[in-house]
Amino acid sequence: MANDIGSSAFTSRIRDEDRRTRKPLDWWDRVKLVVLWVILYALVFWSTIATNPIIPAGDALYNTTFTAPGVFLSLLIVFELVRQMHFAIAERASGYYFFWRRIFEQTDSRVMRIRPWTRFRIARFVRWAVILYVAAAITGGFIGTSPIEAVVTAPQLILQGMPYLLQIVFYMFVAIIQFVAIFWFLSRGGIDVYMPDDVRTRFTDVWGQDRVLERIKENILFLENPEAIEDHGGYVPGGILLWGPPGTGKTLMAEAVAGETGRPYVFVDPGAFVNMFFGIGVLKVKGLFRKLRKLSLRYGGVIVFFDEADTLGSRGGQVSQMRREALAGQAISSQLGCNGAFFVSETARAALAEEQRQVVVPGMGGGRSFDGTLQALLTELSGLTKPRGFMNRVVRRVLGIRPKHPPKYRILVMMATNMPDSLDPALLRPGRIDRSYRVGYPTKDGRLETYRNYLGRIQHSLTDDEVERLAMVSPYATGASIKDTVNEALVIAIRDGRDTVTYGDVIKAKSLKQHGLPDGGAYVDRERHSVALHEACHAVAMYRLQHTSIIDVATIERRGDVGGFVSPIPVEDRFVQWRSEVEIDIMTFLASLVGERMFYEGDHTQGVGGDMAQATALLTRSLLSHAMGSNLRTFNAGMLGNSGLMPNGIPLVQGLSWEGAIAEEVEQRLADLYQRTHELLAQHRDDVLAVTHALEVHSTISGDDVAAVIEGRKGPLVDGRAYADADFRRRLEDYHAAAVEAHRVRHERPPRLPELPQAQHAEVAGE
Amino acid sequence: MLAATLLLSGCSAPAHQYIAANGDGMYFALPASWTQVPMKQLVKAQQGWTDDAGNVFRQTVRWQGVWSAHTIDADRAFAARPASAPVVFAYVRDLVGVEQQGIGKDVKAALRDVLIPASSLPSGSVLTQTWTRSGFTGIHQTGTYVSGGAMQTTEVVSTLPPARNRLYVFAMRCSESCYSAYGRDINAVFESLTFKEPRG
Repeated sequence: MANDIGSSAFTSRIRDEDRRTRKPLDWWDRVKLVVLWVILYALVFWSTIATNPIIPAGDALYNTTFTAPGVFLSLLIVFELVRQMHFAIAERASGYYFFWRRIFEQTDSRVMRIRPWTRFRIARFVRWAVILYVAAAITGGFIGTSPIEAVVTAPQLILQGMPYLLQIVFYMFVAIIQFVAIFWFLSRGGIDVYMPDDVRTRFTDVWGQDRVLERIKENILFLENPEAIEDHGGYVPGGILLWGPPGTGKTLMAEAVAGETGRPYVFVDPGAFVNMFFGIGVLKVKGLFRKLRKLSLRYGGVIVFFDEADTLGSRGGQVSQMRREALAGQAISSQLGCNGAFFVSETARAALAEEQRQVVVPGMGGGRSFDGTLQALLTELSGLTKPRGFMNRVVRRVLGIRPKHPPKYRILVMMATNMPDSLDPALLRPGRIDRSYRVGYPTKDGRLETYRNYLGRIQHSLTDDEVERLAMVSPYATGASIKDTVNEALVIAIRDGRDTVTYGDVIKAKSLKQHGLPDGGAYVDRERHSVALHEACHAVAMYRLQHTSIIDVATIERRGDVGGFVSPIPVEDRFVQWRSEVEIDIMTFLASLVGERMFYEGDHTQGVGGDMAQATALLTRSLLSHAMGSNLRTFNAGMLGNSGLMPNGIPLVQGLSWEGAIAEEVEQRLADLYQRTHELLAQHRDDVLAVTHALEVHSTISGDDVAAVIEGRKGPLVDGRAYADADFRRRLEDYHAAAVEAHRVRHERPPRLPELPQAQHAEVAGE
Repeated sequence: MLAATLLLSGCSAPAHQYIAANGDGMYFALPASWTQVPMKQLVKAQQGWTDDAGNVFRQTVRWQGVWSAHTIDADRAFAARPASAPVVFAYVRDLVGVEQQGIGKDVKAALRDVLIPASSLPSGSVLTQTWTRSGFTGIHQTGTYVSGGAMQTTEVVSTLPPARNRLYVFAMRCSESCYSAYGRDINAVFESLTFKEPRG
């Protein structure tokens, strides 16, 4: 055989166009159709015999042949025999084969000259004609008439059968309508429409976010007067995203938009798209936008607001590769400083990106949209202009009329979220959400305005300076937190039997909100003094050294596991830190150990452990990552592991041991800074004892009061003038010495805390 | 195939046409040349049967047909005066409750006047014999009497199935002279008459 395996001469199979005769058929292929028609014929014959017991076989055969099925089958059999004869000749006679092949090829080429659409319509006509004829023949057979008569009487037959048909349709309708009704019911809710004047909030009620408000006003103006931009060839931005930390006023801004705009405002509940069943979210989105289109046509525009947009606009943990790379890029920038990696080659940047990829955690949590809700929202937002409505799309098309294009729907989409990274990038592309505004923490001026406005609603005795001071010492306060603080201050005043809020009330409220309620437990006197001294050392170091931050509050009141603390407030927004500033921070941490050892004759408490760990970590990172040591080698976070530090603060560096050069330098630098801190505290020993006393008396004092005590002047809540008195300072030294003695020999009766001079004491008692 | 079929069938069309009321189990063979009166004509003609018997018939008939050796219309087929060619009238109808109860044991008496008014004709005009075939019991009547001014011969087989819930009637009628002329055909027709108890 030509294709024998092992044969050296492989023969390719002949192509159809190269054949000289028709390809021979298998014997079964020749006879199968004839066999089929004969079997059907036999069945018809058998049916004739079976249905009439008196008909002889010969007459039955004659009748079978000359009834419609018999004639049809006979023709089929004849046709098939002729066809097989034709094939048989074509398989043997080359001339015959080529003759017919030419005829068929010419026929094919003539048919192919007809346009495909025309061929399709002809085929469709023939198909439907056959279907109609067969249906008519069957119907005619059932009712005993000719097929044509059956077609004519078909409407009458349908009408007669209508009661039964309608019953069936009704049952189907009932079965379907149950699901429709359930889904319709579940797809409702979560969407509120507010008409103009329903909302009383105005832009003037939003404080501290003027920059963002201006942009939003601009968007509103474009919505209400689109020609202003469209006449110049532009388009009205369709979407705004407000993102930022919680409480910064995003929802309030949206509420103000509702109050200011002359258009309907649709508020979408964040939970509206959390559904029990698959597909309900899709229905809700479609229903929402259907409503929006109607409102926009009726009122000339509409605004829709999605609060907590991450519940809807996120694909959950499935952050795209694109987004991961974007996040990684940001991580690189943050690691390497303000220029990021833009000054290195593409290869180096890719290598760095790969290294950072494991560090960057994709946006976890947020919403999830596995049921097509997000996709439906993206589709609705994409602005695809398509004809709508059954009459417009279907009826006009059937009549050969082009459907009308829909009008321009003026829909402004506003979204708010505090997790912008979890939003799908497709949602944030231009054309959907055109503008993205960060609603961050208010600036000092914004906080000042917010304080003024909220304080303006209550009775208070704060001066302008005090209000300004409040704004300055609240760097991360949001509108919501300021409102809460003022309200808490009012509660404190009412609790004290007053209806006028003082500066002290606000400070207390602020401390309460920021740091929580103290446990209320009292120290034993010895411990109270040591804790106060510990915190006083931090406070004095901070006061004397820090330039970029001030003291917010110093306290010795216990809050859970925290015995006391001194919390700083940055005076300005900074993004980079100098080496000298890092050293100051380290010295501030070291101050507790230095102070305890200095004042307790070399002894110190366990409480310095946390401070020392922080100091060590800060120093180590600055040496390893920011070239602030004697080495130029620098390590990034990837090389330091996920956090860069082990839980006990000791950095884990691949290939380097703790006992190595880095460890030596850390120890040396710490010792150097320790010495400097020691010199500082020794120089300002009196300040430490003064602040210690103030903490023991008041438990919690503000940064202003710390400064007043150190400077020996009257503070907002604490009169520090007594601490300027040399005699009082001597008493403080004696008190401290007694405390040390009590600590050393474990006296049962610790020393009494010195009382302030009479005038200051009266003021303290009266506060 | 056609040639083979024609060969098998003796190269000629069948001499008979085979009538079957398949749902009711009545079968007979008629000469192929005899023609059937169109059903519409038949039904329309029966609309004129306004007496009680006619009303009952129209309400209970299940299957019926009228054939004749010559082409005639329904009115002529049911006219009092006999036609000059044999007319066959065959039908199957349901028996209403009263009728079923009235049959009793004497089937002959019950079916005596189904088509031929035997009771009212002179004695000897009608010959009635019991007819039994395939479980069906009934009578075979042959009556010669004047109708519409002419002498006619009517031969009828009226029979009941075992369940006695239906009435099967096969009647042949024509003038006395034509009955003789078509005697062989008429005998063959009656020979072919077959009943099978229907299912259900």
